[in-house]
Amino acid sequence: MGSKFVVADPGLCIGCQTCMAGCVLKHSVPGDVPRPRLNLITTLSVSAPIVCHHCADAPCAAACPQGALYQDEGRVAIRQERCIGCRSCVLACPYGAVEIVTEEGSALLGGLRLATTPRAAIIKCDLCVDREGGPACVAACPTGGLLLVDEEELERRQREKRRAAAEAHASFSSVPLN
Amino acid sequence: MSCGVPGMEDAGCLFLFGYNPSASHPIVSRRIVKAKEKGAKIIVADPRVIETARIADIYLPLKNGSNIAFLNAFANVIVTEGLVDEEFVKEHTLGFDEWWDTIKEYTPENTQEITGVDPQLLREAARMYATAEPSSILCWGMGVCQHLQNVEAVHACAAIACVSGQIGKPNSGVAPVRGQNNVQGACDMGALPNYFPGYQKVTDPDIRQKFADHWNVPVEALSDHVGYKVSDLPKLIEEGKIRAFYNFGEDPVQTEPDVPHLTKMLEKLDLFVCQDIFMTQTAAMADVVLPATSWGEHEGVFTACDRTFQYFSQAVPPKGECKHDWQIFSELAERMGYDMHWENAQQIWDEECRALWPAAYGATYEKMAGTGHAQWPIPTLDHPGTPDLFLGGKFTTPEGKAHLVAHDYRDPTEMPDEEFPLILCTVREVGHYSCRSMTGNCKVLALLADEPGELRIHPDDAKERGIRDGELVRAWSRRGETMSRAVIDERVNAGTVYMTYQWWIGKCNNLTLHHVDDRSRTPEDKFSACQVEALPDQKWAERHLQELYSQLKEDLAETAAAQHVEPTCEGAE
Amino acid sequence: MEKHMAVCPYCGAGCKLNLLVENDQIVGSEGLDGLTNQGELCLKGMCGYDFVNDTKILTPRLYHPMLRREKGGKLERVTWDEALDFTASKLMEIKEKYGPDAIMTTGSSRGTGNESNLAMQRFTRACLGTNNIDNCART
Repeated sequence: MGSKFVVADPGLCIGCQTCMAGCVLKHSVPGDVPRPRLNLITTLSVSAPIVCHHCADAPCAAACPQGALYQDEGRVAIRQERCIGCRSCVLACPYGAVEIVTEEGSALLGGLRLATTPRAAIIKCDLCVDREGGPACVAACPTGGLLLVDEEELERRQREKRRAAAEAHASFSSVPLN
Repeated sequence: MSCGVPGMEDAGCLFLFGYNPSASHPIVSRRIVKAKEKGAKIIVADPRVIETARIADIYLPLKNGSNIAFLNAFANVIVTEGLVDEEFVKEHTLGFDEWWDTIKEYTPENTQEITGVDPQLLREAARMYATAEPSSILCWGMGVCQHLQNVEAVHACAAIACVSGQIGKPNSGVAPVRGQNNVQGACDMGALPNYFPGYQKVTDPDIRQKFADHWNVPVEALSDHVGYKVSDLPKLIEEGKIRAFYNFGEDPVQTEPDVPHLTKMLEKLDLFVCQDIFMTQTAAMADVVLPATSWGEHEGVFTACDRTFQYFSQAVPPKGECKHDWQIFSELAERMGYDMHWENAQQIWDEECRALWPAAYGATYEKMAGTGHAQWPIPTLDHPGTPDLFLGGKFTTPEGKAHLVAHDYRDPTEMPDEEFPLILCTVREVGHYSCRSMTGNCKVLALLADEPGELRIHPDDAKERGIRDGELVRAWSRRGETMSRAVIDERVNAGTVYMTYQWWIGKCNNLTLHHVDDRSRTPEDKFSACQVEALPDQKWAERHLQELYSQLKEDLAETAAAQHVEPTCEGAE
Repeated sequence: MEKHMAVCPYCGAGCKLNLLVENDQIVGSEGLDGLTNQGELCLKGMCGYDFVNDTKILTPRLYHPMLRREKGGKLERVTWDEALDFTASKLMEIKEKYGPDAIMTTGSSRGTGNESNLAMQRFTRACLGTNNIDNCART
């Protein structure tokens, strides 16, 4: 099984944060931390939620001295109990997609006691491995602007691009082509 | 809306003017993305680079408050460049010559100083809109309505649609996309000072007779003159004209402009009744608090922004002693000696709406069952409903023709000056709704966005004031002050700051100007002058914010807690 | 788990959804194939249901009628009879003394629905005798 990751199409993204809400809703269960694993970022021309790419040679996993982040069948997975809250992963991740939440990070919300947070917890995309139907964010996006990219999708896109590139070769053929 | 929401994706051109669907209606925004995918042209005119501006074919960054100058110039291009639909104008409109007398004075070039828009770009946009096939839709939101010249701008938009022939055919015309889930319904059902249900005039004696007969009252018992508008309430209390205010399912202390003044006036009332589902800031001030059932605890019909009636069912039983809103009115009427009794919501719908409003007669509960719907006008039981109004250029005026009306541009009421150099424009939070009493009590939504909300500011304006991204700031105006969190945003135009009106601590309506236009009495919430400064001690500010927020929540909880102390004496008066 | 069809109570798009109910509590929502939403929901439609359950995150739900017996006093719980008798007699007193146009009411453009607005405008016009009814369409 190859690696997978969620990525946003900035043209279809309308900045509505429904993906973030879907993510929080999925993680609003006892023993989990109700925080979004993806964050909407807007620049002048781009709107897109930024989320873990589950890198094949993941800098976050390499940076963790405790093995709290590790490769699991093409996915960067979390062993929460090993996290010491050193935040090396936060520094290492080039996408800004890893967060460490400490206990003071999960306050009471009005009269409502939220799911208790472990002492230090790694917050990042887990691809909703335990959710039927795949990542909650992808399912939530009302414009279909989030894509779960897998090996097959990468190959399909590559084939398309290679084909387009091959067509362009016609222009510099040494002999005329029909 | 003269068209339906689904039809938006089949238009050839969508022109968004003062409308940010991604924040106010994400599911309508989805249709706009689909339209673009299907090849529609998108034009966006807005001072901010709103989400849709990023996929627009033409983006026109006009200056705040310049709507009439812009729209007049846009109309001018349609005429001077020969883009007028001559036949439509001749057959279906009145008053072109007078209209043109005003419009001819406004060109893209001579209005550039007011609008800030490149004349060439404006010309291109007007051409794109007027010539699009098969139709164009001109969409607007509060960016039109909450300005001084709001009704004037609506006249201008309607005239643009008419002269270019972009109305009166499928998926065309004008789309003022209503904000709240049932604001169209409240208006449809006669919660307006000038109309009975179905926009039937209170000043028409025959209509009054019809309602008097149906309601078993002598016709003299019905007022023959138009009533007051709620935006005039503070003034009316001040003048001693209003003595009792019965507030039902609204939270003016959060949503109306110039809250400091409004609060003072509400305290002067002889009787202040508040019927709600939450202990809102408004309810906490009332003399009588009446608990009603919530959405989810009752059934009924809503009207969507495109005139679509849809039925919703009851999911859970009422809490405590809550009664349905209509039951409360009925029991109150009985005590005042007036019989107004129904068994259920469907009976009200059939007797008070369908029986009295011919255009809604075909909208039965049966038709709306499940995912069914009924889009008015729907005059008969077998009528399919009407997504598109004015087909074939038939308008609802006495002559059946559209009246073209033009207006001259005026400056907004409170222009920025040395003391208050920034424009404050109030906007919407995507994850919260209206006064936030509902969404603020939803776990996920409260986790995603909480107090004190954001003040979006251009990098230059922030730099000038030493404001850093994410820090708490103080904002104030001639009315009052508030605290907010600065977000430095390159999508925002310099000279204007944007705040969402959902926040109770970061309350932008402490700052807004209570100035209403003469026709619709809508406040000028999109334009008032303010100033913003950095708060030097951020630790103090963060603590102070938490203290204020905790205090507010504690106060409301304490006020509400009184309801759990059983009454000592039964029915004593 | 029960499912009850509803229309989203937030913006004017009119998205159809099912409310998921367990033990008289709303525990979730799912998009239905409605005219405008075609099965999709935004974040408010998807996560905006639990206020009904009285979460007290921001402010509590109202369960019982309350009355402030004198200006400046505190709100206290009363029976429905007392709350309605008080309101009715005060409204009649003000109508008698200052005329019906001294009273103003509102409709509600929110979750209550069209039927309640029909009832309120009839109450205002036929019982109170004024056209002083409006809704927050302007804000």
